[in-house]
Amino acid sequence: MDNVSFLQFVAALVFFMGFAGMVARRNLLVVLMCVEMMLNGVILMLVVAAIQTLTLEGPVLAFMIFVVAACELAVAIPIVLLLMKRRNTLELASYDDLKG
Amino acid sequence: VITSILIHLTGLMAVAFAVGVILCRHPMHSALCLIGLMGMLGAIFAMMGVYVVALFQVMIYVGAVMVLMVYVIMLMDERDRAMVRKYTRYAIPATGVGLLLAVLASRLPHPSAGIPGAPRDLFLFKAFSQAFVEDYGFPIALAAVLLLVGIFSAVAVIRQQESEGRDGQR
Repeated sequence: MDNVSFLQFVAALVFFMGFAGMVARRNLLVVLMCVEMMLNGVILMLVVAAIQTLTLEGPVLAFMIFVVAACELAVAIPIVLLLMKRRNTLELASYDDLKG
Repeated sequence: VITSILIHLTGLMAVAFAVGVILCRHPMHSALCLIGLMGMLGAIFAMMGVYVVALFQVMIYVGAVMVLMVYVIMLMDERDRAMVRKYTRYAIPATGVGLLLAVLASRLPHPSAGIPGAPRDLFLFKAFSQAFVEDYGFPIALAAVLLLVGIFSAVAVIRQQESEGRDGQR
């Protein structure tokens, strides 16, 4: 398998494993980690596409994803801490009453 | 040839770390696997010559995001129910669908085969910085302003709710 196909496969696998982990895991923190994993898959795909097309759009978008991921976590972590303080657990099922 | 072998090896290790994130019971082990995955992706970017992304991958993700994550894990209770029961009932269907979609996504057509060893000057810091400021400066600044507005709005909503809560208590 050539490098491009292999890296595309790795990127797709990392993204969808992140998706599977996000759906499958019960721990809120691990779910957040799986979201980060999905973003990493997207970044890899963008960089591979940028190298194929020899353009800078991919790395610029990757940079944007870095910024958004950092902001997302800066907001998500305090929410997780507040939830943990309130109910003393990070199990997602404990927060079922939040929906809707 | 050596670079190609190293890229394949690093990619396989990245996939192994990704599996580790999902399978590990303790969030600290999952976080360590995620750090490994990010490091491997950084190595792949560096081997492909995209040093800017490699540097930011290590600096922002491993250096900032994961450190924050590890701090929160240290505050967790070891007896939490989420530590005992790892998976939801959707675990098996989600894994199946994930694998299927990954195979389908990797079959997408791509214009040319093989990374021809990217031109070293296009993805170097100087060229990237120039293009970043000249061509993409405005959209990035606009996105930064939008993020800032979002953060201020969130703070404003929380303050409003707090003041309403205080009024309700009175």
